[in-house]
Amino acid sequence: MAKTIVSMLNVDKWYGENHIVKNMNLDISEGEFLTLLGPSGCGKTTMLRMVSGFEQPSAGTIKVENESVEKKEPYQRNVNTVFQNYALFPNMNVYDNVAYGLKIKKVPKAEIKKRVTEMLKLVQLEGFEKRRISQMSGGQKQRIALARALINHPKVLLLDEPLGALDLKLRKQMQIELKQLQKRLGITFVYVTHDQEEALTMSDRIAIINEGVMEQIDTPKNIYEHPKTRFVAEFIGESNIFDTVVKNILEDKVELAIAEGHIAVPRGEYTVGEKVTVSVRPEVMSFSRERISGFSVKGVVKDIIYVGNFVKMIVEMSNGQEIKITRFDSMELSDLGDVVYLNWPLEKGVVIRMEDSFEDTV
Amino acid sequence: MEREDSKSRARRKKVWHGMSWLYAIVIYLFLYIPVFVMIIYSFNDSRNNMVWQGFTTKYYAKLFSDSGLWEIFGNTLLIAVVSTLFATVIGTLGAVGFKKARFKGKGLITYSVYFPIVVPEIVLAVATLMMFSLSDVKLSMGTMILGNITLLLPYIFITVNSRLAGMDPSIEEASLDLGANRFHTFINITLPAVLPGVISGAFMGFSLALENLVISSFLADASTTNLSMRVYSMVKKGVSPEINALSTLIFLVFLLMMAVYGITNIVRNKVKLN
Amino acid sequence: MKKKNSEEKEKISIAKRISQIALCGPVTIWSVLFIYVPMALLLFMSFMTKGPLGIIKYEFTLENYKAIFDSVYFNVIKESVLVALITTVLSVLMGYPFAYFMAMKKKKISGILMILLMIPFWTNELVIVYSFVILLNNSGLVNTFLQVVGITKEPLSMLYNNFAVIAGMLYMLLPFAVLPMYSSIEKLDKGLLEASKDLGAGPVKTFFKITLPLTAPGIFAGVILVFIPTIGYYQITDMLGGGTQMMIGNLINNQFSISRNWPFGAALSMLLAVLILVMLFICQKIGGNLDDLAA
Repeated sequence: MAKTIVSMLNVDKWYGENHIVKNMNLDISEGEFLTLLGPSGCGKTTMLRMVSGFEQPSAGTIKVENESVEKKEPYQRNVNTVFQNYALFPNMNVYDNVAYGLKIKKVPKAEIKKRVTEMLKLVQLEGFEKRRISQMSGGQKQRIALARALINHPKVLLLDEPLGALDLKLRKQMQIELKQLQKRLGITFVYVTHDQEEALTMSDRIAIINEGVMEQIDTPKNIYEHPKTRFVAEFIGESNIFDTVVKNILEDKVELAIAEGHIAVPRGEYTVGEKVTVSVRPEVMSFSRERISGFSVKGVVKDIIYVGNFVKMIVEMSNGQEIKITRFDSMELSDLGDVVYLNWPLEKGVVIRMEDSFEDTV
Repeated sequence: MEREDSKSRARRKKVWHGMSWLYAIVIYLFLYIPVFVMIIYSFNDSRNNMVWQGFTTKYYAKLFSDSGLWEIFGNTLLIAVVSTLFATVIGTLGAVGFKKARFKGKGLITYSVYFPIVVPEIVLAVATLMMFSLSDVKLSMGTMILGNITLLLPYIFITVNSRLAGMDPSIEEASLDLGANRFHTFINITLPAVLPGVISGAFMGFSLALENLVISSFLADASTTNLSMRVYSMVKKGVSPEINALSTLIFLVFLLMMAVYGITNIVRNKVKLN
Repeated sequence: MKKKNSEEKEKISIAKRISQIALCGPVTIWSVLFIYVPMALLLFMSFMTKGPLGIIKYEFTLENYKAIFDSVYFNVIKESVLVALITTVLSVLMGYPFAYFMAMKKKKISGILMILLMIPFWTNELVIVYSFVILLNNSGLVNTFLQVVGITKEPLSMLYNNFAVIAGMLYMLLPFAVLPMYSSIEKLDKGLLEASKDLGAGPVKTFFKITLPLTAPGIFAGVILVFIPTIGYYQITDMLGGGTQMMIGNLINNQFSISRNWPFGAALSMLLAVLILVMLFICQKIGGNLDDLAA
């Protein structure tokens, strides 16, 4: 296990009556790319701002390199930030923006020049030194902001939705560049975004934040395949959620009752009558004309949507719930109005048994 | 039929257009005729300057040899410069500070800063005079300056605030984040960002202080006079063309300053574009 | 759930506190020293008694306020409110079409028009007011012009009366009416006007139903910016009213320059301040926004 570089211990943040961050515990390892992912207003930016020093926790401790930073001003912390709207200094040219941190530290001029040149090369902006900020495009501004922060060799780089203002194509390209840069420099990145695809693409680990609480922290693969809570299942990718009650415990599987019929999951620690939520990704779903053992999910094909390289089928169950199925090119399709039975490999149904993620819909 | 209609509509639009320009010209005439009268009558060969008596430039010559008038002009300039300077510093710091600070009574202080524009000047003049007199402060050029500073503060406050509203607050955070303390951040980042507001506020304040009459005359001692006070006291006897000449010169200096300011702006924009 | 006591005050570091004191301190001290203290003294003084020879006796009295309602003084107050109202109404009536005209022009042209509007104010306003004396006196330029053209035979009496006073004040304050109205008309979404016309409203109806209500804050700001100085002016009344015309400002000024009755002057000043603050309060209640004053 790598060394922990930033840790939050029981951190709370209140804004007046609003409890923004709730008893947060988080360890960030040296050199990792950690993403704080969540809907807007979930507290992820506030967490970032507490690490950079622009906000003080109402309770709890934040440590950087095992040292509490409570008494440290933002300018005394060895972390740097890439701001959402870049926050480049409009009264300075590109060179002066990047050199700012070094000038403040009174680094000799010759060395500043050397390091700025290097840094601009790293972000592919050589030759733009004398340009005004207003002459730069969004992607270029992004790179300047990055260079301006990285030139100070921070222990941790905090990035607050840095790609939010870019168009889709540029965003994709910058995602890859950022990830490569992080790997090359070995600096810890803490990245805030509400874009799940961005998080999945770039991160070593993702922390999912909802209403000030951390729902799950894990690798992108684990988060996608084994969401721990209903919120995570619904927020990351698409999911079909079944609210069920344990009906039969058989030798090789457990049957769960749904509104009209049943589904099945592999054997585990269940008791009959227990409420269980099951999440199934659209791409693992299949359909057949006949009932398959263990599953009794009947529906009518309501819609077929072509999305380029795959097709989405919407199947409506008799209780009105719509089930999404993703079908790839070569796969068999059904016709609108057909009655189909749905099933999936047993182990692909992810069981969520957290009480607070359960709504009384059964 | 339809063509007729569009034709008459076009004609109506033209008439409307012409009438609106005519109206604007009338307004400008109303504003400029007194200015031209001021300039023309500075060349009037008459002592009381009510009726045109003939052309002369002697009042300009007299202007340069009238030491009394120059002293007054010097006073006026000194008061205006010093009070603008102080008001600009205090107002700029305050506007920047008030944007983020939260403390008890902040609202009351903010309201009071705007008080001088919201209430007629004479009220503040009377009140300040009473304060100085009750606390045995002797009236002097210093008290005049103090009064003027209070008067100019809200203008600086407003212009700096309007720049602050357009400033991205995260550039200050970025500076702190990059290792600059609050003082360096203020000097390197905040001040350059609000500078246009500071300048236009100072410019506005300076021109107000130059022609201030009310608070200056209430807070002046017997031996200190500024330009407006002098003009005001002369009115009953009739203004000498000398005053017209001086005002004309000041007016021209202002025009020149504006022109220089405008041209540098244009040049700067051109440089930016290249 | 944590209890509410964890919602204590925001922790502020010492460095941050010092910087806030450095920034906010001067203006706070200034406003206490030069606004609150003088105004408190003014209030105090307005309840004191006038002694002989302008000496102030520190005895509480309401006489100064009662004196305001003496018919002599009360007439002056009525007259000044009337003059200020006429000036305000005229400056809005004259200024609004002009502001509209400017706002409908292209940015470049409206910028030039705006500078042209401001240029006269870089002259000494008293010298300008004196130009009105030159223009309006019986043998002045306007009368000469009217007689030469043949509109009148006798010179019209235009100086040293309310006509001259209002003309002078209008001159001084017209731009202050135009500026806020211009900025509110300029901000108006022109699409709304087209939408209104598209929906069948004529230009007149569009103006009264859309343009006027939406630019009302600008008009309020203009009204305030004109009314306040007008009611306090004494110099214009003095120069163009020829001593026959009196405003509250003159009355206050007289208490300090001639009568040496400071308590009464203080009471009049308090009245003026309260009058304005009440008016501002009402304006804000009706929907005028004081922020527009900053425009």
